[in-house]
Formats: sequence, C-alpha cells, structure tokens
Amino acid sequence: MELGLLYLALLLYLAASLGYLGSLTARQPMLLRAAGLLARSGFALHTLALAIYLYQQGRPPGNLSEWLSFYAWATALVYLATEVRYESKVIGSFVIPLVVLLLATSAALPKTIESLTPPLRNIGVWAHVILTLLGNAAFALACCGAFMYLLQERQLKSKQPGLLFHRLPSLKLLDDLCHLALSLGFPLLTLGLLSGALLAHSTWGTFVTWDGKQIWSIITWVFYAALLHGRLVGGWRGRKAAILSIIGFCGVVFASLGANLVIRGTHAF
Amino acid sequence: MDIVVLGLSHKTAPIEIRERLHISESKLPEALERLGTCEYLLERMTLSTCNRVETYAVVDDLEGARRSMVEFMADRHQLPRESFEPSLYLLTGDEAIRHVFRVASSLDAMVVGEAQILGQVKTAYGIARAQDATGVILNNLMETAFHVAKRVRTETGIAASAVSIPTAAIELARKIFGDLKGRAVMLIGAGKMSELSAKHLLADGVGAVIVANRNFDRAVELAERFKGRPVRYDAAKADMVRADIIISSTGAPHQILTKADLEQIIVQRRNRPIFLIDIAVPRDIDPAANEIDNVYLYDIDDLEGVVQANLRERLREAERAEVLIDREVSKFARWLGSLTVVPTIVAMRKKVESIREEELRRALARLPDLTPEERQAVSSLTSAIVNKILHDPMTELRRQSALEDGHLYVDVLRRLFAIKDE
Repeated sequence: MELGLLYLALLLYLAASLGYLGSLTARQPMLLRAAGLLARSGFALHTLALAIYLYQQGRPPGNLSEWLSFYAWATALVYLATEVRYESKVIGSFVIPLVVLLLATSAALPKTIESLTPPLRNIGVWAHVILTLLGNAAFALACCGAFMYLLQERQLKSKQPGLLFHRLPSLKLLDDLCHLALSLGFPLLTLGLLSGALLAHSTWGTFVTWDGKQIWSIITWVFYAALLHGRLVGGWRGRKAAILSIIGFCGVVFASLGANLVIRGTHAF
Repeated sequence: MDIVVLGLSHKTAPIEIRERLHISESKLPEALERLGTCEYLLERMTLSTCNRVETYAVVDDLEGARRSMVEFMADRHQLPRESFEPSLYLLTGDEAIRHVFRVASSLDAMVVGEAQILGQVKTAYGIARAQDATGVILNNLMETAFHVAKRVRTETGIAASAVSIPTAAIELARKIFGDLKGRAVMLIGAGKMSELSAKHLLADGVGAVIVANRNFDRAVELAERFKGRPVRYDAAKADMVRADIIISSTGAPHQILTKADLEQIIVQRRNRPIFLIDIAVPRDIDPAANEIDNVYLYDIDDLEGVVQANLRERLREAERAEVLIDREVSKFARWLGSLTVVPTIVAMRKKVESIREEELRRALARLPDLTPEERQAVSSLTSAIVNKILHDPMTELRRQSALEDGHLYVDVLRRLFAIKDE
C-alpha cells in the first residue's frame, strides 16, 4: 500500500516539476502557485508513505532504494523550509526535479535487502542515518542554489539578460541560500560522521573501519570544511564558491552511491 | 445613441498641432461646460495630455455631434479647421470602447506600459463627473476601463521590466544585490544620465552616495543634492572599495579605471560583488574588467541592449493584453446592448409572469375544493392584476425610450426589478 502512495507522490512531484519549469518560461503566476501546491501534496503523501514503511519495518533504510527515497524526502523537507524563509518559489524549479530524480531512481532500484548487518537494529543507527540524511539534503540544496547562482551570473555577465534573468532571484539571495545550506549541512555532516564512528566502535571495536563510504565521507567532510572556511575567512564568494559547492555535492553523491556500488565495505546496502 | 471617441494623438499629429489643442486641467471644467451646450452630446468627457487630446461622448446624432465638436475645437483654440481636422480620428461603437480601454491600459501610449496615463484618465474623468457632464453610460465605461487597466497591469507583463537606461540599471543592481538598502553608490563625473540613475537608486533605498569630480566644487554641489559625501578626485580610488555600485561618466578621453585597478579593488572588497555602470563615451572603464569574478560592468550600449530586450518583451505582453481587452469589449458591448428597451420589456414580462404562475400554483394547491370555473376565475384575477399594474410603466417606458434619456429609464428599471443581463 505504501508503494502506491510513493508512486502517487512521485507523480505529484513530477507534475510540480513541470509546473515549475513552465513558470520559468511563461509568465503565469498561477503556474508557480500550482507547482508549489503540487509539491506540498507530493511531500505529504511521501511523508505518509515513509511513516507507514517505518511503522511496518521498524528499522532505518536497509538498501539503496530505500535510502534514496528517504533522501528525496529529506531534500524536499529542507527545500520547503527555505521556501518559507526566502519567499522565492523559483528555487523549487531546480530542487523538485532533483527530488523527482532521486525518487524515480529509488523506485527503479531493486527493493531486496541483501543482509541486515547487525548494526541496523539499534538506536545509534537511527541518529547516524538521520544526521547524515539531513546533512546530505542540505548539501543538495546548496548545490541547487549554486547551480542557480551560476545561471544567473552567466545571464548578468553576458549582458543579454533573457527570460531566466527575470525569473531567477538575485545573486545575493542565491549566495545567501548556498551559504545557509552549507552552514546547516556541515555541522550535520560532522555529527553524522561522529555518530557513525561511535557506532562503528560499539559494533566492531574500531572508530574507523576504512570502508569506501566512510573514506569518501571523510574526504567530503574535509572538502566542505575547507569551503566553509574559505567562505567565512578567505572571502571565497560568488562563482568560485558556487562551483566548489557543486563539486562537493558530487562528492556527496559518490560517497552515498558510488562508494557502495564500486567499493564493498561495512556500509553494505 | 452611440459611444464616440473624437480626438488626435501622437500617432496622428505632431507636437506642433497637439500643443495648440491642449486644454490644461484648470480649464477643463469650462471647456466641458461649453461642450455641453451642444444638443447632440448626451454625455461627455475630455482627456488632454501631452500625447493626446480626446473627447469621449455619448451622442444620438453622429454627424451633428462630430460637427459640433470640431467647431468647438476650432473656435476655442482659434484655429482653422483644416489645420487639425485631418489629424482627427472618430471612433464609434466597439471601436470606441476598445480605444478607451487601450488608452487607459497604456497600450496606445508612446511607451507601452507607461504608468502615468491611467492617473491622467482618472483625473479627467473625475473632473467631468464632478460637473455632471457624464452619465450612466460614460460612468460605466470609465469604471470598466479602470478595472480593465488594472487587470492588464497585473495579469500581463507590460509594465514589468525596465525600459529606460536608469531603470534598467536599477533592475540589474537589484538582481546582483537583492535589496538595495544600505548599499553605497559612487558617482564619478557628472551628467544627466548618471544623476537620474543616482536619483532612482536613492529612491530605492540606497544608503550612501559618494561623489567624485575633477572639479571639487561640483562634487560638493552634487553631494549636497544627493545628501552624500564629496571626495577629491585623486583620492577617489581609495573610496571605491566602499562602493557597491559605481556610476562613471567623466569627460576623460582615456580610461580612468583599468582591469588591474579593478582586480585590486575586488580583492580589497574581499570579493563582495561590485556593479559598474560606465555611461561615458569614450568609456571610462576597461571593458576587460567584466571578466573579473564578481565584477559586473555595463557600458551604455549594454544598458541599451537590456532596454531593447525588455521592450521586446513588453510588446509580446501587449499582444496578450489585446486579447484580454477584446473580451472585455465584448462584455461591455453586451451590457450596452441590453440597455435598449425591447429586451428589457421582454425580460420584465417574463419575470413577472413566472412570479404570477408560481403564486397561482401555490394558492390553488391550498384550495383543493374549487370547481374548474372557480379555478379559472382565480387565474384570470392574477392576470388582470398583473397586467393593470404593468400597463402604465410599460407605456411610459416605451414612450421614453424614443426620447433622449430613455436609456436612463431602462437602466433604472433593470436595477429596481433586478433584471439580470442575458
């Protein structure tokens, strides 16, 4: 039953994406509002589906498919929170399609659980999963904001402002959004890594297991630490910071997915 | 009885003719008074702006009204008819309605989407209405026109983007900095364009204005005007670090800011973005500076390009506005049509008849023991009462409809009896 809800949520997100993309090209204030409404409805159903899943399974996501579904949800959550703060629904035009991509991939992947390694059954795992999930969602948002920043910057530099120029928010807003997302994501990632280390220690006796996912996550952490430091202290603003945010997110994606598919380890999904 | 528009605009007459026919606001009441002596004009109002002089009227003899209006214009402005008559246009019916809607929505303006015209039309209407020069039809026409203008402004993008160089500069500044509050502007040199831009920026909430000029006295004078701070020309570079927006329009024959200068400035600003507007010819700022990260440099051609692109979008949006206006014209024309007598009488009879039938049915239901003859008598009673009551009003209405104020009677009747438009 909850699978049906997920598919419905995916459909709503997809419709919302079409609305958002449409609002970028045509001048129809209704489209933007409709898209927002569809996205929220999709989110509501998505929440319901995940709640049912959690109630039935009683454990955190155990395979890539499940994890992506939660990740899509977390990204939508973080985005909706910023919609309230920034009053600019245009950001949804970039985030919601990403949510669709994540959820669609989740739906396409096999649902089988290979093996529930023992760690998946205690409370520490919940904390670790939630923290890394939210942290990664924040980085996804930072990436979208950075991408929009680069688009708007290109419009301004080209001296030929087109339709996008009018629809996209100001560089300042996008830069602030990126910064906010990074400032939220980094502490969350830090806590996520720490909780992961503690978990590893309590389960296997070592803090660091040197599996692919952990290594990449640490690399990503160092990367974002440098980026945040550069922004705060070194005046890394604008184009450079935006590109780095996108690269960082690619690292996140690789750490989550690629490291699993390519390198086997304790984070086996 | 017809709605009529007679006048000329920037589209049909040059300024030399328009200025001679212009009526200032203070003289409008007296002009309307004199126009009112013409027997063919049932309702009237006149709009006189720098781009058009038009009279909107409700007339019952088209040719007679036209002759009177032209005579009035020739007489009042002491001009021979031939000097302006070829520039006049006379619109009637749907075309007149459409014209009024288009004018109010700024679709007939020199720059489509300009904001002033609506206020001017409202003022002209207010003056005419205050001295009872307008009536039911013109009142409804104008109120509808204002409603249509509002719809056009909110539902289409004709007024959305900047179509002058100073406003285009503001639009760009906003896309870079978001809110302009607290930002600092530096003016280097002087000139109408740069001062206009500075004025707009100030109106938008810009925080500080720094003025630099070869001539320090001029800098002081300008700084006072913008409530800013003057700086010595040679010391200007040091202050540039503080400026988020620099408007440069010196008469210098060479560049005053090189790419290297800007590279230094952006480093000192720790990469906080800077927006440079170079209005000077020859250009003050090295165009290559635009390549620097977080530096945005627009020269006068670039700004003009933005204006042109926005104008093109306005024209596209204007097409959508025309569609919207078409629908509104049809709606209004239908209302106008409903004001003639026959449909009103028919609707009235229908309504009264349905009341009669309903009440008769109810009454008979409460009197089940009546014989067929008695039922017939009751029915005849209701018909007789209704017909006798309606007889005088209907006769008088038909009589009045042939006279000049007939539409007033029709309108009142429709309101009193709550007869809806078909």
